[in-house]
Amino acid sequence: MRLQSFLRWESVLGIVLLMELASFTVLSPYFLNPATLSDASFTFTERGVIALPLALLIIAGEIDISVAAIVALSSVAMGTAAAHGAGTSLLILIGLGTGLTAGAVNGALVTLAGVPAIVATIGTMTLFRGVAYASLGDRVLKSYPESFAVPGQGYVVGLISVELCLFTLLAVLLAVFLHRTRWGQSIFAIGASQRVARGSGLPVARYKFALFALTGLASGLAGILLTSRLGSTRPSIAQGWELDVISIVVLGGVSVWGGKGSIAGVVIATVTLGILNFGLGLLNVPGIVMSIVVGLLLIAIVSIPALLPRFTRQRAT
Amino acid sequence: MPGAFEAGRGELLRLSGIAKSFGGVQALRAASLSLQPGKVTALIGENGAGKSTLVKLLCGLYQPDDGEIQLDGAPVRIADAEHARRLGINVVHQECLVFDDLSVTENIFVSSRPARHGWLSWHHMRERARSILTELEAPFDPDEPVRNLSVAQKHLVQIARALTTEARVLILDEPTAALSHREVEDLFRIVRNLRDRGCALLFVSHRFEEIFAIADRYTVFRDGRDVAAGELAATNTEALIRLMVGRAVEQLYPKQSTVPGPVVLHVEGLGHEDLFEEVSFDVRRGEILGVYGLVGAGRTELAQALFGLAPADRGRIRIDGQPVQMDSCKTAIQLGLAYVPEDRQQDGAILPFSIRANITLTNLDSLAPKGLCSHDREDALARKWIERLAIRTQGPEQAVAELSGGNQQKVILAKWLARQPRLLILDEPTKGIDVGAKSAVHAVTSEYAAAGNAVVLISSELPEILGMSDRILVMRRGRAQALLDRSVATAENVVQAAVETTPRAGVAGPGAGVAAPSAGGAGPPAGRAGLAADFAPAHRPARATPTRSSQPVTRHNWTLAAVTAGLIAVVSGLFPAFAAPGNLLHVLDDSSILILLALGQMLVILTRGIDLSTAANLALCGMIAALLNRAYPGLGLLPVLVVATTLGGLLGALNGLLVWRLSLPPIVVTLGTLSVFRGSIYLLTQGGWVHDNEMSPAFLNFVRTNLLGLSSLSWLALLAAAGLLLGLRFTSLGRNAFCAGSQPVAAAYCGIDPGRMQFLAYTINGALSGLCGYLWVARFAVAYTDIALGFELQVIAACLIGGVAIAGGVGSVTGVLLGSLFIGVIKNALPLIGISPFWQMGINGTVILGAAILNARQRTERRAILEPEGPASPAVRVAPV
Repeated sequence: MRLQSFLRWESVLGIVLLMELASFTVLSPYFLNPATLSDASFTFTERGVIALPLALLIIAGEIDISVAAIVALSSVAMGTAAAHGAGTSLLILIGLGTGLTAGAVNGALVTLAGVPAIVATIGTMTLFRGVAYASLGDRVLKSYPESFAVPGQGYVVGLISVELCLFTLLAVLLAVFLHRTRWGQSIFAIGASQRVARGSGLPVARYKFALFALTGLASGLAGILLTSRLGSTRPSIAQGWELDVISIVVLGGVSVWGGKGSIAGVVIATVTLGILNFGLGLLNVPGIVMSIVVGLLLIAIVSIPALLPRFTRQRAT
Repeated sequence: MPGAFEAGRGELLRLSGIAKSFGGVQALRAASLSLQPGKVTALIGENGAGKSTLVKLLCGLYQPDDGEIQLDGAPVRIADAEHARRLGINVVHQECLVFDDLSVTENIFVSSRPARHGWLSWHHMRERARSILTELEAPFDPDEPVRNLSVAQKHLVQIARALTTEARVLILDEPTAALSHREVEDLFRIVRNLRDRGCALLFVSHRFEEIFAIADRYTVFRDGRDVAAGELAATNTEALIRLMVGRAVEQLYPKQSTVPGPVVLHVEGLGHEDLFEEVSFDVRRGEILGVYGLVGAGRTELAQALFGLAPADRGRIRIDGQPVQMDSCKTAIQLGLAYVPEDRQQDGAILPFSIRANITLTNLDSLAPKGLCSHDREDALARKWIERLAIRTQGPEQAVAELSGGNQQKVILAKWLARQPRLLILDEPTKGIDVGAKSAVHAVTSEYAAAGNAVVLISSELPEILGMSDRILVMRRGRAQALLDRSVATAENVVQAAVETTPRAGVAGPGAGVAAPSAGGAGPPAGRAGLAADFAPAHRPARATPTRSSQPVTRHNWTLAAVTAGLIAVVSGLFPAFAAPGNLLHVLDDSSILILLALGQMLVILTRGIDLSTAANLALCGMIAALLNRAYPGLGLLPVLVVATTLGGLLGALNGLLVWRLSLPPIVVTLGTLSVFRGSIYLLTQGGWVHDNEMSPAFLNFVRTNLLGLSSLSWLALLAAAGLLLGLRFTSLGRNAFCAGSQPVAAAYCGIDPGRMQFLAYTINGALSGLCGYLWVARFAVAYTDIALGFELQVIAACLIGGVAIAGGVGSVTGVLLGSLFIGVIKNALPLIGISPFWQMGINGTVILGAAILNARQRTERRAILEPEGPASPAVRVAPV
């Protein structure tokens, strides 16, 4: 059954990606150039790093819209530490640690306090971003050590960036985890039916907590990459990214109701949206128009299954 | 009322040649039924025979594909639930269709609210509810919130609902499933009463005792059509069963006799709150222990305690002699227990998953011991069990949802048997499955016990319990009333143990086979008014309950008001000017736009939605209002207001349509429209602004006028609040919103379309957002792309603080008003205290989380906006048969 749906969704998505690449090649002479494409990868690697674990979280039946705020929080934490002279390794630890802690807070709110994920993450989104604003106000932090530029601006070999490597590595790891291990199977079950999962002996709360923490950690990592690439921190960093990341996950074929999705789809969706973003940028289309496109795309994606004849839809009888 | 109905031999309702299919499955084929006034007709048939579909056809939920319905000899088309009611057809459904968040009165009158010129008269409703409840001898108040009632009492409320209007046809679908013996007697009294008044009653049941006690005529259904009809006096149970099944009843209970071995499970003094207490028994290897009892006896709760799903808080459990703490399912499973739950579709199997995936789920530790899964191993295991249990399927990859009920149950059995548990607990394993699968399940169970394992079989079917069990544990009201050996158990003594509190002389056998019922104090004393005892809530709380009249919503609002007042007091302690009336009015004025938006958002959340695009809507409409005013300054204020509000309404309606018609998740839809709306502002203006010097005086002055000391904005906010308060409380539409949000499925049965309510909520919210667009732009005298950026979060915060439940069905205008004022007070106090406005966001976040945590404590677990099972549209949820 998984193979069947793979053929349907991910293939369609793959075709869309190819069409996109073709269109941009035609529209812009600069497009199909290894250096350009390498630059393009930066538009999706950071968002992709967040989207991958977020996909797992949504498959498990939860949601987290505080991811962008976690990026901001970790960025501010690192910036503040850098201003006090911290070295790169410490900064990376702080970035990851902030993300992990923030994710754990989300996890605790949902699993221990019983707050619905949407409310909890609206709350933490406001709180984390609020802390960022409260600490920085309208200032900018720029005093990062030189070696800190490596994660976001460095290259592993040739034109393949550190960011691209990290994203690929994470994608491979999570693909194996989700689709080939018992823990991945458990995540699908928890999302499809929490009650059956619990009755089968799965520690549902523990899984959810771990997934929130993982998403937070990944947001922290994205914070490191983004801050390293930009070389500065503003409290408004990554503003609006939660829309982008959720769009990627939904475009990737992950069902918002839980229990269904694939890493392959999320990866293709990440690249598709990233290239779209980059391509439109090359054509000098302003960012806000891009967000209209993403918004329309998001609605279109979730509408397609609803508009197609019944037999492609899951029935609950 | 004599003479109110057609006296005489004529038919009241006739169905002929009715056919109905659902996506290829023929539920009814050429079915006929005839109901006569003044007679009770029993509708008999197995599960899957078409009874439920027929009932739903009669109450307007479905339309027949073919055939005719005649009422009083004239053909009629029952358009919907409302129409059915108007025709005088009332139904008491099998499912529990009550609204937990609403009162008994409201539940009773949900389909027939008495009103005067569109305004509901609560007083009238309450009095009528009281009289109906008295007639039913129900001991609960009309004002009681339904969530406090027991299952049986909730069913009584449903019955009361059917009695609100004079019914010409009353359909009772398995009405006694949740009732105790006494309650059934009361129901029959009412049924006979109605029958004598000329009503035509249809009694759907498969409890033959009751059928013969109450009904006059019968119709037997099999495979989607009627196969026989006649007078009950002329037939007997055996003949009816033969007609139902189509063949002579075979040996359904292949019980193999076994020699019981050592004790596997030893339970002593087990109890959990007031759900069950002082339960003690043993189960031995090779033995099947039957557990019998009526609804409310605590059998499932006992099973859940044994399996670690809802652990006991007192007593001891020993497995194979070793004391254990059964604190989680995982522990139970590791100790070799297995549990097949009662509700196979919700708790037993994951319907959209394949057979292989379902069986794998409980066997992960043996299939993937190091973590990595192997498709081949899983496939082999699935195939082995498909063959073992003769599961009719296309293969291991077929989705369990596509299998018949019996085969689904076999899959669930397979997933547990594959673990070779030493104790298998089955909870109503053959409920709702066809005869063939039933006997297969019995055969497997017997075989499993005979192989040296222990089985606990919970069932409310007497023949099954008597046929399968080695010993029978009878439970009543949470206590173990009797433990009967197979050799002495009869239908009579088992049922007696289940309904009476003291054993009768004949039950205690010659010593060996019977355990004495629990020591004195078991249940209410015999002398007390028996009815009241039986109707008392099954869950007697261990601690004192809050007084009946205190509603959690009122308490919440008082607390919020106190906290806000306290906050004002604290701030004015430091800055006395803060509490000055002028300043407080300023705070109100400042919060007015937030109040208006929060009121709209409340409607959306109430109906189980959320609208993240409200601020973007505001910004777009505000910009268009400003552009319009700039282009045509002479137009005046009114057209601008109309344009802004209408446009907002249309944008809101767009959200509503996507959520209603396409059943899209509100989070995703409104995230999408948020960026589309906001982006559209840029498309319109290319980032340009409209400044104050480009706005006409008429445009700007309205928000700066005062009337009787209050600003125009404050007036708008207060009027909107008042209007909404009245509308939600005193109009049918308003109450429908609460019903739709509280229980969408139940609402659909009562003729309320939850999707339509959502659409209305989004449209009204959109209109309010549009209006606020003008208000914002006029107030701040500027319009640009980013106005009110992120404001939707404050709006949602105001709702959450105001006690609106994110899961829907609960909320109050007062609460939202107070919540908005609370945020307004904080916002205005911050600069005074010297805290920079950059802290506003963080404080908002803290307040949201605080309110959320407090709310979460109070609410019982309810589905959040992202429901794992998908949208609650009736067309998908209502099972065809």
